[in-house]
Amino acid sequence: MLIYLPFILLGSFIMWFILTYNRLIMLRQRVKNAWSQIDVQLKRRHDLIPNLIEAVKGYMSYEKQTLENVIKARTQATQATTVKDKAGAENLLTSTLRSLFAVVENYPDLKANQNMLKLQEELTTTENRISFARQYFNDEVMFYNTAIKSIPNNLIANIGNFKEEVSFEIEDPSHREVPQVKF
Amino acid sequence: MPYLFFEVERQKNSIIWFLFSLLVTLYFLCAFTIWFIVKGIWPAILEDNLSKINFQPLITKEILAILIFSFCIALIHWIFSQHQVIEKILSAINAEPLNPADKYHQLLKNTIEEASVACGGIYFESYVIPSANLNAFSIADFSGRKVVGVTEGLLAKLNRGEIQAVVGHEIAHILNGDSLFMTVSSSLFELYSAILKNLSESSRRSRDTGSFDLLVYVVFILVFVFERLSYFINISISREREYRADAVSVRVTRDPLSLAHSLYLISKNRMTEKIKSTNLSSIFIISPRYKNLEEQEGFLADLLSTHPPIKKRIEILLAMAGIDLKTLENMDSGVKIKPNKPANNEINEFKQSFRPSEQSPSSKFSCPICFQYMEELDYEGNIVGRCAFCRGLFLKRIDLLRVIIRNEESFSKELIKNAESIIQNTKNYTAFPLINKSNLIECPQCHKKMQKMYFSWSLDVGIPEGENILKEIEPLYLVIDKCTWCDFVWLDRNKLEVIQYIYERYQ
Repeated sequence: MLIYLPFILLGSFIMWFILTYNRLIMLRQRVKNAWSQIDVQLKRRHDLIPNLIEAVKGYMSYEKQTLENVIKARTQATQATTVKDKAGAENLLTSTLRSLFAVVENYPDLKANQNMLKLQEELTTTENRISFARQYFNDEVMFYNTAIKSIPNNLIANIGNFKEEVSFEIEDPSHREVPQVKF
Repeated sequence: MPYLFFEVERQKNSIIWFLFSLLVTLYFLCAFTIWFIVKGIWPAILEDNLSKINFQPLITKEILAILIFSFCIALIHWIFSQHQVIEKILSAINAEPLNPADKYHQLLKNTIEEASVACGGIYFESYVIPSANLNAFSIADFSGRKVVGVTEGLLAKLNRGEIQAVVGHEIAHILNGDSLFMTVSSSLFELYSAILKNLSESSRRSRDTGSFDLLVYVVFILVFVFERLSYFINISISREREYRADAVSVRVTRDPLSLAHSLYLISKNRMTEKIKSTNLSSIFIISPRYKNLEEQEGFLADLLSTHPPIKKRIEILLAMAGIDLKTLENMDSGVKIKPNKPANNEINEFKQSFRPSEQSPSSKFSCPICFQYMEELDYEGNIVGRCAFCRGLFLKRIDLLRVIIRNEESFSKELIKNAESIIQNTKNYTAFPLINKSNLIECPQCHKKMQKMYFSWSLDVGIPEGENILKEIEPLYLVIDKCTWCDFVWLDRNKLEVIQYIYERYQ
């Protein structure tokens, strides 16, 4: 029986190797999937904005500048390709939308409009979904990085060339400050 | 999300094997004892001689045969009870699918989809229980269908963050595999409850045949034992899982305070109707049964309740949020959905009532009093028809519950005075005066005469009488018109607001 021992050990080592390698591959693919999920939600936001402009245009004929800013920011966001450009364009879009909603507050008829309310709800849920998608991406990156760096697995990670991923972080340090509410 | 795909699948398989082998074991033990007893007594029955009773141990062939037999019975039972299990449970708890035109339902759908984005994009179906009390549930079955549901009362009383926390808790149950386990185990033994009910009915009917009675009693006892066993299996596992689901919900939504506040609000006003008879209470977030036991802690309470004590759950969550219980109790939920009209100002409304509004589309129904076409209005999430001239409302009777429990309206002083006088009248009169039935109006939909009746909380709205404070004003001294053929109601100007005010006043 003892003659079989090295074969058993070798067999179990190979099995462990294969299983762990497959697991690392799967985790990496999940990270990629999570990244594209964020893109799905961003695209949803891009698609909602023309509807928003249409609903608002009839009421806010004197606010052309604000509307044009939103439209320009949207086209820029849809055309951005690199990660850095995308992040910058999305931030710009968020700030133009914010100023648009600030202006909407001055039009009570528009505020009460059913269509507008539905759109506001849709935009709120889209913003939430974008942040949840980012949260999911960060979670997946955490699992992946942990799996790569743990002791038995990091040998395989070195062999299979698994690199650490970068999670979503706040780039503008001013966002970390608690907003001051002053009336 | 914590669980990777193959871990979830592996979990599913272990659930199947555990429950199925449990079922087979139960049947085996049962068949074994029956065969053993019958084999021992059989010669005595044949020869009618008590001394011939001879209990012998069973040989291997017999045991094998009993095993195969119980396996087959268990398989049949399994297939039979898993057939359309989700539909059965949904109809048992009265759940209905969402109405996307209703903005509260749309909010629920959005929160579920947001939480599913946080879990990687899993699809959940959503249902709503038309009940004024608060609760939430989750069901899953083997084919991969996942269902999350809440009650109407929960949608009306909690704000967006809290609804999301509750939904996150239910989704956590589904992803942990608890929902699958609970669904399968409660449906497995649900069969026995149904048999129990049928047997008790049929035994009452067949009093004359004596031997049939004996068989019925034996089966009755066995089934009762099974049911109690299943109950204890259910509760021993579900309590720890509630804590874990709370934790996963916080991990998904990153908001422990909302979940704590929701649990607090739900525990004050939980759903109790109709669920008392079944053992489906494990699928809910807070147990609909055993209201008082959960407030106590201690060995017996721990043993007998399906859910852990709510106070402990809230304390764990508040420890994460860094707030104490007193602050929580003083928190107000605040306004949930943005109201779409300013405070009720009678004079402004009077001025506006003769201007055709471009926003509201015209309804196909015409006012039974003014004979003009009504406008379609979004009243707190439901589409109702309103006459622009006399401000009367025409809506489905089923929508009344939703309108009443949602409170976006603010009430003017005249309305409050009016409502208070109605309450006084209701309390003073022991028998209401007969209604004058000479000028009945026609239903705008089916053109038959509508009945005039006093408004009743239990019949019209569906708020049950037994357990709440509304029973002192049941029925209300307010006449409404109901169409008994198409189930719509007609409410004159301000009557719906009066009803809403009275409901809120009694909360």
